[in-house]
Amino acid sequence: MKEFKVLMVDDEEEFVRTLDERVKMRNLDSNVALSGEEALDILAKDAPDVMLLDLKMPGMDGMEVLRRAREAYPGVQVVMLTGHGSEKDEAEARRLGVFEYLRKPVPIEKLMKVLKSAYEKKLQDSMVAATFAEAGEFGAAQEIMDKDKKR
Amino acid sequence: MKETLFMGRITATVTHEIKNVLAIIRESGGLMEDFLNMVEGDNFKYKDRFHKIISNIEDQVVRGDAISTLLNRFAHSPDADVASENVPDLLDQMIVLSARLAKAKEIVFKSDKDSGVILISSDPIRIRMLIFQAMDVLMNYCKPGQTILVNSKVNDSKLITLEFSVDSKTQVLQEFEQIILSDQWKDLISTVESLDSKAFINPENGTLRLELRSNDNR
Repeated sequence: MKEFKVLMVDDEEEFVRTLDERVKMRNLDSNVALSGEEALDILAKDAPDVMLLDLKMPGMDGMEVLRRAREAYPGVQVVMLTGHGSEKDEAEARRLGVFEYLRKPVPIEKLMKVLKSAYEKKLQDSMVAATFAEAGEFGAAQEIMDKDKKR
Repeated sequence: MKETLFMGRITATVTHEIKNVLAIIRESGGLMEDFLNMVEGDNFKYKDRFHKIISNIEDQVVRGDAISTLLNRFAHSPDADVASENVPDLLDQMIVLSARLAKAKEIVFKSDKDSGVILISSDPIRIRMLIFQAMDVLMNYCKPGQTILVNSKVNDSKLITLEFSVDSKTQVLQEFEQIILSDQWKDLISTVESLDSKAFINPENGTLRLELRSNDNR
């Protein structure tokens, strides 16, 4: 039984395939997308718990994928992993609600810790929202979802 | 200025690509280690040797990452005409980026790690060039094997001092007297004056001192 599902998005195929293999060895269910467009396709069909997202990619860049993912799939926690990021990029990603912003290269132990924390955040948010929904507080549940979107 | 921006932009882009290369090397080495850890007991004769090699790869990735991070900051220095920066960070940046040149001359630069934060508002390229010119002069006039300690401090009048002092002073007196006559020193003086600052050389105690004025203190 895998712990949770991760989608890894990066146009550096050698990097993302190797990382995919390492993450799978650590008992996570993992999938790979080599572009922003492919990531959105996968999100629409089979949303992961956490998305690990590169910033600079040909075509749709990571910031745009983050923007759309937070809008359409607020339950998916997003972790940025980039070799290109400036402080301005980091500030923008945080404004859009990224869970964590990491710079390449990152040790696997640190990455695993961040992915697990992101998953715990997702669980926490959905539990709180479910509690409000059970109590008939649909407005409050929606508010939590909206707040999470803006986080 | 356009030329400097061009050089900076290309260099910054390449440092990002180097980070991608380092990330692939790190993950590939890491995957090898994952597989190695699956080997039970003494089934693989070279297990320890492989662990050592993978550890060496990781160490070099960390080294390359530190260099490319500093080179990236250096490449972004033309982005602004004036910037507020931490002098000890600038010093460390220039020491790391000049390490190969210093090594070739068998000279070691060591910065004082207890300086704290000393902010200077100045031309980001000229201030780096000045620090490098001071290091370059010393690399040419010091003897192989010498260590140069660099201390940065700020006084009550907000005058920032960078002092380079040679460890074994008795050997440098004669050489230091020649520095003032050199073209390198003239170039350094030209840079320091453009920053409304001052440079001094003291053969008696083997020191080179830069007195820097922050733009917001002129």
